[in-house]
Amino acid sequence: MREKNTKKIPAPVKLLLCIADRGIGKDIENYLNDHELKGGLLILGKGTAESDIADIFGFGLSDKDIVGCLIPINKLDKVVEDINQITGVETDRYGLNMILDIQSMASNMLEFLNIKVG
Amino acid sequence: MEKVINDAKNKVSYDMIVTIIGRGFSDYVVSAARDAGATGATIVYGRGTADVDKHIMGISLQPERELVLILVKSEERKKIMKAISDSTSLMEEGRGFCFSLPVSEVFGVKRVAEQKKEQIKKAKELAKKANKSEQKK
Repeated sequence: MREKNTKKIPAPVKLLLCIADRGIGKDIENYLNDHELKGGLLILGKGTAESDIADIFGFGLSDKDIVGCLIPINKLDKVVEDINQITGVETDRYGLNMILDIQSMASNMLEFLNIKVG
Repeated sequence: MEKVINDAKNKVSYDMIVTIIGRGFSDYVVSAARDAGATGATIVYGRGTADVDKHIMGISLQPERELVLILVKSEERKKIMKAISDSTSLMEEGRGFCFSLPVSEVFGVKRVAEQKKEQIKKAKELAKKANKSEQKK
């Protein structure tokens, strides 16, 4: 039984990390909830401005939303495509969407995301 | 098959440098990273738990921290991490720490890079025009 528990299984989820302008985080959260991707985390942060002129006038920092969420691998392509559209990082807005590999995890999150392992 | 191999060779890989440091020091981290070649950073506020038992005059200290997230090309990672470490004396005890995580995919970087290229192009054109006008004078 113990061997079964410690068996190495490739993580069936990846971490999607979105850094977007303040307010867009709520849209991402709504999208994730609509698609039953629960357990996302919204963090408020600050981005550093690109322009030196902005720095001089005291607008050196701009408010950002950071959203982290575990996404099942089978849904990843569709979710990333949709989130790219919501955040507009490839069209008209500044921000980044990143996918980070998960090496190991200890949580009942997989059950929460309706993923069966083993 | 050859095409696939070439694509894999040409693909730029990225890492995310995470620096956890005392409140107020993120500016040093960002400026050091920028000088070493990073384009930008995201700052998040947090609270450390290492010194949670410290009390001064009965008031417990809650050490405030800043997390600085910087996306960099893998080849530039070491240089930028060294610059951050040097500028903020991370090797001293209790200063904070810095680590990197591999990023498998990134979206949004290409557009920023293109905009930067355009900015550089415009700046060069302006410099050329200024030179020409000086020569005429």
